[in-house]
Formats: sequence, C-alpha cells, structure tokens
Amino acid sequence: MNKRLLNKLLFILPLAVIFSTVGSVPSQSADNDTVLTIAAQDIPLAFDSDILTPGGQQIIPQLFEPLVEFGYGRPNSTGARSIDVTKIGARLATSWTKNSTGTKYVFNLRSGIKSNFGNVFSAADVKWSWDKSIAQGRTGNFLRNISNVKELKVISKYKIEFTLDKPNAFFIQVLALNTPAIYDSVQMKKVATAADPWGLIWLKSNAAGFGPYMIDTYQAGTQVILKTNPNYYRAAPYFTKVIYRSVPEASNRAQLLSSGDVDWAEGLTFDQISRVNSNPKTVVRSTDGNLQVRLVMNPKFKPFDDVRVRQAINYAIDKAVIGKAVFKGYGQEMVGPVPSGFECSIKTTSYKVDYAKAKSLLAAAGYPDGVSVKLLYSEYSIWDPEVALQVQQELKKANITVELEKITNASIISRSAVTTRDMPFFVLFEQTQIPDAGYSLGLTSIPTGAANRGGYNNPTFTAGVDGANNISDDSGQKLSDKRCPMLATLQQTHVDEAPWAYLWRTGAHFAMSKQIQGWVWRSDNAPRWADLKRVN
Amino acid sequence: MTFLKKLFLLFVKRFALSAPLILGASFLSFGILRLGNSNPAILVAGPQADAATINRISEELGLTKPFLEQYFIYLQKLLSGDWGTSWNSGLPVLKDMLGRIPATLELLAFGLTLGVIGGITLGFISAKKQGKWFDSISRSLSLIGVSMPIFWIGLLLISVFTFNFRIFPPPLGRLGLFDLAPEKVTGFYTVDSLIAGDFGLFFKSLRYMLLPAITIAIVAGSQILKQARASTLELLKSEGVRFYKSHGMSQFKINKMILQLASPTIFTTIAMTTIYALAGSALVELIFSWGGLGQWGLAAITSLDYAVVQAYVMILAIGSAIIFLLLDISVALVDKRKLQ
Repeated sequence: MNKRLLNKLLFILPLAVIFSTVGSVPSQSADNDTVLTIAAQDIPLAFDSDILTPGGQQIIPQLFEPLVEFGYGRPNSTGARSIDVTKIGARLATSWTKNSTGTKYVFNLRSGIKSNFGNVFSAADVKWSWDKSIAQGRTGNFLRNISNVKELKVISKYKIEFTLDKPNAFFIQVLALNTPAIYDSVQMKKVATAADPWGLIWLKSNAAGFGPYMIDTYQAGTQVILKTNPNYYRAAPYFTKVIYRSVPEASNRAQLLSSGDVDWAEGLTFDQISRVNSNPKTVVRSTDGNLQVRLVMNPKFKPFDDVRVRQAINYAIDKAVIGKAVFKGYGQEMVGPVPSGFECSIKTTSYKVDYAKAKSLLAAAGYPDGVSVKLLYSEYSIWDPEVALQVQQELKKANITVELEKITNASIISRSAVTTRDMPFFVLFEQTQIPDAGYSLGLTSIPTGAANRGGYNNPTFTAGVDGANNISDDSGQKLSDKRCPMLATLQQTHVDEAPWAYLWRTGAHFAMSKQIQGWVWRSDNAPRWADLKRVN
Repeated sequence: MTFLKKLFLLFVKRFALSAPLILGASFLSFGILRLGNSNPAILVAGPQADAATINRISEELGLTKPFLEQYFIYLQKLLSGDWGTSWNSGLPVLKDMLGRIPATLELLAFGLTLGVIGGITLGFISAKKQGKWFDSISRSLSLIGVSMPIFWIGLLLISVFTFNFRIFPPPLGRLGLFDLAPEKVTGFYTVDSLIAGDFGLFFKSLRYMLLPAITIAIVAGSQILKQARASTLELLKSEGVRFYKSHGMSQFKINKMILQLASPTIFTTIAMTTIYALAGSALVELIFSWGGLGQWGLAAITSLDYAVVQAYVMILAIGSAIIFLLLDISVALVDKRKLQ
C-alpha cells in the first residue's frame, strides 16, 4: 500500500466511523403511546415522604395513596382544572365520623386493597406510617403538630381513630396530602433493621405503597422509571410506564418538549413558557396556583425593626414593573399574605406604589436621607436573581440603596430554618400545600411555623391564628362562617405590619405535549400521572 | 544506573511530591466548605424540621465538634477507605462516586482523544501552511475554542445539530429514553456493549457520546492546536531543520523530527488541558444530562453536600496528580536528558 493511500485511509476512517453513527434522528416518543416521557429537573434522592427532595415531590404522590382527596373544580379558560378545597372525597378511607368536640375522628378504611408487594392494606399501615413520621421529626411531624394530632389507635383491621388534643379546622385536608404517606407496613418491617427501624435506607431506592405506580428502575441522578402497580384498586392508569429522565439544563428541557422528544418538561423559564405556548404541538396549562415570590424582612434586625421602614419598602416597589420584566406578564400581584382562592383568603388593602409616601415613612423612622440595606438572594428559583435586580432598581427611587448579595440555595434554606433565621432581608419563593388561610398563616407567620423564615412574632396575631385554626363546626354554624372573619382581620394585620414585601404570585405553569389530556392542578404542584392520557 | 531504574526513581520522586498536593486539597476543600454560615444539619433535616431534630442531626454528623477535630476524623476515615456518606442521598460517597467515574472517563477519553489528534494534526499542518487559507481557518477555529465558554459551545452545538438538523440525538444522557444500558462490566457503555456483542447498542452509545465529546474536543483541541502550531513554527525556522533540509533529508523524516522535538511542550499542554477538561467536563455533563462525576459534584456544591463536594475535590486532586505523574514520565521517555 503506498503512503498516499494510507494517508487518505487514515483521514477517511475516523470520518466514516463518525458518519456511521449519525444520521436523521427520529423523535424519542414516537410509537410509544402508553409511555409518558418527562424531562425532569431533578431525580429524587429517596422515596421517603418525610424527606422531600427535589424530584421526590413529583414522584412520591404517584407511589402512595392518601386517606382522602380534594374534589375537582371546573376547567379555567386555558382548559386547566384545579382541585376544589371545599370538597373532600374518599380514597383509602371510605367514610369517617367525629365526636361533638371535634377531637376524635374514626375512619372506616377500604378493604381488599393490596400494595405493589401484594400485602393487604389495613389500619396498621396507617398507624405505622404516622409513627414513622413522628419518629423522624420532619415534615410529617410538623403536619401532625399543626393539625393537633395527639395519637392514633387501631380500632380494628379497617378502622382507625385519630385523637386531637384540640379541634382543628383543616385536619381532614392534611390527610389529603402525601405526607405522611401510607406505606405497606408489612413490607417496610421486612426491610427494617435494628439500626434503621423505619427502613429509611431501603427507601433510598425502593417504595412500598398503595398508589397507582411502583418503581421499575431507579438510577440515582439519572432517571426513574415507574410502571403501573398491578394491584391498584382504582382504574388502571392510561400510561403503563413513566420515564422520568434528568435533564438539568432548562433550555434543553424546553427544546426536547418542542421537538416531540418528551411529553412533558418541568421547570421552564417564562421566556421558554412563551415559546412552548406558541408551538402548535405543545401547550402550557396554567392556574393561579399557590406560589408566591416575596421579600422577607426580619424585624429582629435594623432597620426592619421599624414597621415604617417595612411599609416604605412595600410602597417603593412597583410590582407591575417586576411582573412585566421578570415574569413576562404571567401571574399576578400579591394582594396579601394568603394566595387568593384559598379558603378564607381576602384581598387586603394593600400597598400601591407611592415613592413620596415611602420617603416620608423613612423620614419618620429616622432615615430622612434614605437608608442602605443588603438584599440576599439565591438561585433557589430561576427568577430570584432577576427579582433582586429589579427590586434594587425600584427601591433606588425612594432613596433606598440596596446592596445585592448572592448566596447558595442551601444557605437560603439553612439560614431561614427555625434554629437560625439570621437573614435580615432576602428574596423567597414558596408555596403552601393546604389551600387554607389559617394553615397558611400558621405555617408562615407564627413563631412555631416552619416557614416563618423571617421570624415574624406578634403574640396577638399568633393567638388569633391559633384561635382560627383550633376550632370545629360543633355549634352547627358553618365552619368557614366562623373562621373567615377572624382570618380576614389577621390577613389585614399582616399586611399592616408588613413583615414581607408582597411581590408576585407566579401562577402554576405546566408545559406538555398537546396530546396529553386530563391534567389537574393540585396544591403540591405535582401532577398525578394516573390522571393523564394521550389523545392523538 | 539503568534507564528503567532512573525512570522508577523519577516515578517515586514525583509520587512523593503528589502527597502534599492531595493533602492540601483535602484541607482546603474541608475548610472552605465550613467557612460559610450554612448548617448542613438543617438541609438534612428538611425545611420543616423542628429545633430538636436539627440539633440531633448536628450531633450525629459531628458538626458540633471543633473544626480541627472534625478534619482529623475526616482524614482518618478517608485513609481507611471511608469517604463519608452523602447527606442528601444517605449513600456511601465512595460507592456512589465509583459508580459514576466510568461515565466521565469514557466521555473524557473520547473527547480528549479527538481533541489531541485534531489539535496536533491541525496545528502541525497550520504551521506548515503558515499564512495560507488553511492556517487562517484553523487559527480562527482555535480562537473560538479558546475564547468561548465550554457550556456555550455545548448549547450551540445542541441547538444547531440536534434540534435544527437532527443529526445528533437529543441531550438525554448516555442513551435514549427507551434504550437499556448494557450489562455492567467496565461501566463504559461502548466497551460493555461490544463485550455483550450488541453492535447496535455500541453505535447508539457512540452516537450519544459524539456531541459532548466534540464539545470537549473543541475546547481541548484549540489549546493543543495553538501550542502545536507555535512549536512547529519555531522548529521550522530553526537552524537545525534548515540544515537538514539543505542536506536533502526527506520531508517525512523532518516532520517526524519536528514532532519529536515539539512533543515535551505539547505533552505539557495536553496535561494542562486534560486537567482543565476534567473540571470543565462537569458543565458538559450538565448540559448533556450525562450523569457522571462532574454533574454529581456540581449538584453537591449547590446543595452543600459536604461529603460529596470533598470527595469530588479529592478525586480532581488525585486525577491532577496522576496526570502530572504521567506527564513527567512521558517527557522523560521522549527526552531522556530529563532523567539526568
């Protein structure tokens, strides 16, 4: 072989290998009608409902079944349906009774249900699951405390009793959540050890529940594949398999959906949402949701210890500007501490932008020449940096100089926890899972509230929240008639005391293929894949 | 002293010098992580945990102990093979890490091979054709590769070649949504699929690897191209080469000699580029949903998973030390004077 020919071959061979591997690539989702494919933001780190990691919040509701469920509302103009919090339906519990003081509830449980491991559901599963949450002292335990649950007692195989130390207005709604999830305790006890009595290590990559799906394969950090639970007691889901693949980059998720490679894309920016909406093959279904963006001001720190400074900050922000610049017109202004649409929420007399009033409030508070503050923000949600920048520009107009400091997502979580709460002023994005004003204020605005991240503490307000929450409909009066006036006053007090700058409700936006139908918005912002079907 | 003995001594010397580098990296990563005012116990406990649970977890994690005591405990465990437990996943870090290394190594090996071959070849030809159109094009390409951020190059390639022309598969990781990974032998999908005799899967895994590998190759190859071109030009103008040319030495032999003389400098560039690629591949992994070591490390940094971040820094430090060791040995093999 001469040298020239050898050189040519050396050049051609690698190219031949490359070109043999490429070519026209078909869409990934083609010919897989009953497989739902999702470009996910994160893959769960565990399937423990008490340790809700990103991704886990999406998967766990598919694996477990609650005792009760919220009813469904009517579709809105975009065709999206939401839950109706005033209606409660049966799931694992078929019916229930309570005593006259509202402190004892007895639930009749569904019989003949089996888990994905084939074990029969009973009251012992409910008891074991709540005991697990209490022992862990995390999310489930918080829900137990806020709903006043004192103890659970197995009455019979299909009967369980909850005793509350005080009546509670939203106890039944707590049972519609997936924390504490109801596990198959027979299987869980098999995998538990002396060192790990609740089987938490096994739950890192497995699950035993009564929900519509079960784990088929789990690759940490890469993907989870779910398949239908053959023992599921309700109608079999349309999608027999769900592929939940990690695609960390948001622009890739959007493009994968637009190109038809996946059926669903999580966590898109508002620009991407607009693009997905303009694609004839994809759609973004939106509801008002329960997600709030707010600035938290901790009254323990100067200058936020003065209510006039907090009010001045509220007057100095034109929310419409932020809504347009950051949220591209999606969502709406916050009109109080509780999202509208929640049980007993009101539209408060809120702050309208008024720079002169902001300046005069600052002067009255002893800052006639303005004030300098530091605003902490992270990338906990993708728009936080943009919000921080816009707030900086807005506050400048009222002589409030803002120094921006970016910290890690982990720092925002860590420093706003109940044991720390050392950030004077920061951007926060949060949701409240039970759509009830009393629950929302109890979570975010009283000292024991796990999400009271700015440490707001007003004893009168706290007593008011407790009063509105620890109440039952024993007098025959409709519960909401009793609670709502109390909660309306509390919401207005919150706004007047201004521990937050009430910025924006982003709305809940879910991007999917137009073929996917049946989606219902739920307050945990996790779709139930068993609701969905493909319509070609 | 024989050549092999000298080479062995060099190896021992360089190996000994790596120890302080690795120890320093371990101390820095351990210290920097603890400089912030975040409490990982809260992250482990979850945002709705009560104070008692947070305090209990702080105790369990040893976070209440003095800093130096924590460091020595960490070091002691590290040396005994216990790299800690991920506070996020609850899994042993070493096991988790070892499971992800093949994905990263496979990508790096493929990307760097493309980069090294492409960079040296283009750099050499470019120097030989100085001032011609080929030289202008390759210099422009290398400028793009050197100046553009790696993640930007990756996103651009995806946008053009995947979503516009659909030549390459979508950035969904090492295989498509409906493909099953080959049975694990080495963890390298291309190798394992060949071992399993599944040529279809081999070509599929190659297809998924091409675009991320090309991204790495563009960045790594550009540096190498620049260095190879500069070294070749310098040698082409040297008196030695002119002397051999004037005495009728064949072009092939001259080219061989130039490559040999330029190799120590090029090897150094390759080593530096490899270290850069080792760290930079994290972003490529993120963009292509690769699921390797880099993506794992980045996720740990944002979630402040101390044990994983420390392990990631350690593996980068060990990787760098190995690369420097290989560089010294390679240079010594080419230029035996280095052993003197």
